[in-house]
Amino acid sequence: MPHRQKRKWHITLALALLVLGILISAQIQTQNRLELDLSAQNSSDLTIMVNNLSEKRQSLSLEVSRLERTLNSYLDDYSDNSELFASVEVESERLSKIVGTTEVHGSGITVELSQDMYPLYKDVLDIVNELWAAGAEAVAINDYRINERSYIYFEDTSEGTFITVDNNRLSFPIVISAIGNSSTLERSLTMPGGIINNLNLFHMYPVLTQQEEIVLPPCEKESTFKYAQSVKSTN
Amino acid sequence: MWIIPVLGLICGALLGSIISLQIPITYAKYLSIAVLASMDSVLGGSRSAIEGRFSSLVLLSGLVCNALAAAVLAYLGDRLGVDLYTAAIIVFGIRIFTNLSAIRHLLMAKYIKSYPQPSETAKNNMVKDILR
Repeated sequence: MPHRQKRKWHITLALALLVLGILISAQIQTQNRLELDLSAQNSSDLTIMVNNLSEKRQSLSLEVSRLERTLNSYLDDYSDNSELFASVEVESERLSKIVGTTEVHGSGITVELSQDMYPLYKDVLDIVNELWAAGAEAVAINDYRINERSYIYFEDTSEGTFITVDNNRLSFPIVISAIGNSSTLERSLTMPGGIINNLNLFHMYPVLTQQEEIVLPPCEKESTFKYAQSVKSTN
Repeated sequence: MWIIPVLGLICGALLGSIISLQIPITYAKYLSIAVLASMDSVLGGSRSAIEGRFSSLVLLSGLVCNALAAAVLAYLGDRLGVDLYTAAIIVFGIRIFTNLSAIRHLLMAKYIKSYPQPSETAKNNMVKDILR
């Protein structure tokens, strides 16, 4: 019995100490957490902490606004650049179409004048003018593209009279090609009292053909500006 | 002889750190009271073991009841606005020191031949002195 009693107190005490150990370690952990918890800090420490943190916050918000500004400027630059590039590209394409530095294609109309009609340069000029007036977007005569400085005239030689475009002699048949709305172009040429009607009086019957696809060559030389300078508007 | 209880304490500490009890911070106070109560119980048990009048029932019931009662009283005190927490700390603190000094005296009486053997009444008087 004493032996059993002896063993028993060991085990019971060990059990109690086990519980104590668990409680102590739980309490230590809790205390550690408590020390990290703000509500357990004393007020002067908390005041210092608040000051430090608010200073830090201020500097960080300054940093944030600075970085946001940088980001915005980058974004602006980026969009400016991409928009600029896009618009420059569109603009240069448009301008090259206008001045005729690139080959263009599209639907349109061709007007063919043969030699036996004896057309005058004035007739060619009238047709071209009429085509422009009817909304043609690009015009060429034979292989010569008409641009804003083109001139149509004539040249008398010993071999005969030639109609010239930009001082290039045109050989027959003279084919005037225009890109635009083909039916509009044809109607404007053939309207009563119009240019074709007028030519018919002189027994000239130009052949008008609506085309699905015409390819107009580029101009031989680009326009250069030596004297003309654009006036900068100051508004 | 004291190896098993010491092992128990170590095992408990390890177990506690392994399972890592997450007591809510608001209850940390009551846990600390429970720790004090169980410390008191364990020291009381050790003392009675040395004195040779150990009772498992008294130890275990005292452990559980004291810890629970202390925690509940402290909680109740908080609800009532009476600082029973402090009362529990003082009582357990006194008892812990009483038990410790009793254990010290007993051990000295046991191992130092010249130390006068304490009588039953002397021990009781000592406790009363401390409690007064």
